[in-house]
Amino acid sequence: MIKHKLKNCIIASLIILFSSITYNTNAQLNLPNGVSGSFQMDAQSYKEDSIIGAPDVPENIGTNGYLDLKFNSGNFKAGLRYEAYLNALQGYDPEGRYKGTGITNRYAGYTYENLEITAGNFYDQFGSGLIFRSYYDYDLGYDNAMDGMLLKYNTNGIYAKGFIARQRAFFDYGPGLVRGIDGEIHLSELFPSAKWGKTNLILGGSFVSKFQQKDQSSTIKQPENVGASAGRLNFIHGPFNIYAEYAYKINDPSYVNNYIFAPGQSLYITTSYTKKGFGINAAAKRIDNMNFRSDRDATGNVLNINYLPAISKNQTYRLATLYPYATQPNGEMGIMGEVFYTFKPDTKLGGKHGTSISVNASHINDIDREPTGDEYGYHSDFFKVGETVFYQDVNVEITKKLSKKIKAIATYINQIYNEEVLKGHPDSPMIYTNIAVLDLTYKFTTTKSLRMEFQHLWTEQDLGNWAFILAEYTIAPHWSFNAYDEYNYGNDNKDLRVHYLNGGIVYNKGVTRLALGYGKQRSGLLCVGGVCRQVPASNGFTFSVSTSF
Amino acid sequence: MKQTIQKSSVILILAIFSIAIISCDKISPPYTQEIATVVTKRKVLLEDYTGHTCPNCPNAAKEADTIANYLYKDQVVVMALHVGGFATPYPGAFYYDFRTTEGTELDNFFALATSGLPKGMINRAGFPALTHKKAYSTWANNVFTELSKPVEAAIEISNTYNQSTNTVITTVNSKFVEDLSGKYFLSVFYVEDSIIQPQSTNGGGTISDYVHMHVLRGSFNGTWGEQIALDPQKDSEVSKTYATPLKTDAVPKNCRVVAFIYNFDTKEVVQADEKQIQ
Repeated sequence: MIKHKLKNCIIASLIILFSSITYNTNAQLNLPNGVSGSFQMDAQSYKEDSIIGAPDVPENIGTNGYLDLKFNSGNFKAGLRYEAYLNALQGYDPEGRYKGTGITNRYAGYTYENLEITAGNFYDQFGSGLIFRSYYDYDLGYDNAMDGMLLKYNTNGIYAKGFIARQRAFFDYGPGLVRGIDGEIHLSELFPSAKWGKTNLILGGSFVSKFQQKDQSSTIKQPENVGASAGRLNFIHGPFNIYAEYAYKINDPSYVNNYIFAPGQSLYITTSYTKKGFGINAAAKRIDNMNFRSDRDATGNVLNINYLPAISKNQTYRLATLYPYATQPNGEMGIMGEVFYTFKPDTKLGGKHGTSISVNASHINDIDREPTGDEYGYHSDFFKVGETVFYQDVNVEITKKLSKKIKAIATYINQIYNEEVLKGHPDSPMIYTNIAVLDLTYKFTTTKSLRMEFQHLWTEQDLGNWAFILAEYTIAPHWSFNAYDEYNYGNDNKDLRVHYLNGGIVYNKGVTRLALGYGKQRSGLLCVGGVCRQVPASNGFTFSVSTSF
Repeated sequence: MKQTIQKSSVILILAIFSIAIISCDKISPPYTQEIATVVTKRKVLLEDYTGHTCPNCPNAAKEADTIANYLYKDQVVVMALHVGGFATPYPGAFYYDFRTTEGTELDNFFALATSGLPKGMINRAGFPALTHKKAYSTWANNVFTELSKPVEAAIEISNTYNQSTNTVITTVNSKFVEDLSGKYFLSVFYVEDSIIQPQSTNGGGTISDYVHMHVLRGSFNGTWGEQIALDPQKDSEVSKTYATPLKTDAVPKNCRVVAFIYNFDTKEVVQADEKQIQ
């Protein structure tokens, strides 16, 4: 009885809390013209749990948050971002460099005619990012913002940009300087009189150089200026698109490549053909010694100048994220293919409401290397594939509306995962998984729906089999309640056959979202686009608020 | 006005391009170089935090070896501490447990393993400012910096090995050659060379007969040693004698006693030395 009252009391308190916060955050803001922004805060409580490996966190609670403020008026722009780590959530930089608060990003700029000038912090990208990409990912704790001057100039199909800057490293800056220039020609704009029709050809080239003073007494001859260049083309003809980029980097001995002097190379090709209800995508890439940072001794997700695109599917279902692919900057060769097709309604395979099917597969190996036995490192045949398999996945997904009320997504995933290389666990066997997912949504009314996920992962290696079930009840447009259990019932160690139970409430109002959860999280890698961070196991409450204005 | 803007933009971009295009330092072989050595009586403690399953650690060990035996011969005392996840024994090839209680305690305090191995400390300098964790590419530079500092203390070690009890008795004489302020501690450990056990290497391979050098095996006076002076005056001397049994699988002729004096508050080592047990 007391328990029941307590439960009601907690639920009532949460509703009051959510309603009051939501009311406040949505109160009419009399912002000056041109001001916009966004806010996010994530807090988590931590309770030590030796079974799942959740560590003792002395401060008991971690909080990450930011407020982005932007001002645009005519040709003028300015902005800043405040960040707070009080203290940082577990897994954000193990060295603890995200700690405290501060204005971590500020900029101002203006556009006059075809010239755009930015001074302060900026994010940008050359081509697909093989030699330069600066970006911010809050979830990954990744921010390699540039701080310097950026110029952009566009005229008649010619797009040029150049910058000189240093890079953010947590609440500080890296020791190096980065300089870059990029040019792109859109032929259909440059020569509008030619009959291009649905065709366009875009050619681009870029050059990036970093400077870092050498250590006076280093035993290796450290290059102080390291340059990388890239060329790219993009051919578009109606629904057909092909993009190719090649990059080359001169000797760049660094901690990540074991201070070798071999040059770096990368080739990235992606192509697609889409028309209504049908599409094909394919991609291939080769990366060889392309770690490129403004500090030769940096490790982890810090001071990266470039970004090496991932070609494997970014998994979203919980069990499919157990073995995520992390891009290997020291070398990898991979291919990806994807086909999707929608069977129209009232056909044999389409049924009454139509059926969509997509098949995606990727395979990634090491590159071939012949060691030279000296500081040069190795020679590598560009077209020869290394023997070591890093990763492979095959994904089949069928989406079908069974009736007006029921929608189903059935997914099958097969993975080969080289844990020794991708997670750095020595002598680990290759992991082979089969994953099945059934995602069902039942609409009770136009505002009330229930979504269920049933997932199962089979593997004979690592932690053995897992099962997962999720129920999510939504009362649109405001409320959502969810509960899930992730169960490692196949663990060889019976003590570790743990239920990772979680429950949560989400409240949405306009652009404001509040979420409260409680449960156990398993440790693992969080990867976005091949860039990963370690997420330690945890046990406790989570609370997050996000909004924009 | 528009033309002026366009022209100036083109000039700016060309200027950046010109700077960028000449900004490449292509290095020709040989890729290594000799650097100036320092003649001094000061000896520097290089602590190499490592692990047998750490693929990049052999490169750090190689660098420590180059520094101690080639660049600054007889001026550097190396101690390799196997710590953290990379030192965890696994069934199979990596069964051997290199870890020591003292090494683990030191790592818990200085937090090197959590920042990724290999990492090292040079005389533990930079600790209060949290710049004590050094990537191995910077070790030579930091050793040079430490060797350039004035000599503040001297150490003399004499050892006796009792074969029947497998015990080492060591006497460490410490002498301060300058007036110093603060609490000074003496730490005495022993390390072992030539332990042949597997080691992971970069690229996922394993060297089954890797020769592990300078491996910390045990202590004579605990993780943090013993206080020997408070605000020591010039020419003051302290003599300490300790005894400890060697690990049962240790080879006495491959073992050395390592002793160093450090400031307890800053943790900075002011003098270090080592001597063979046999």
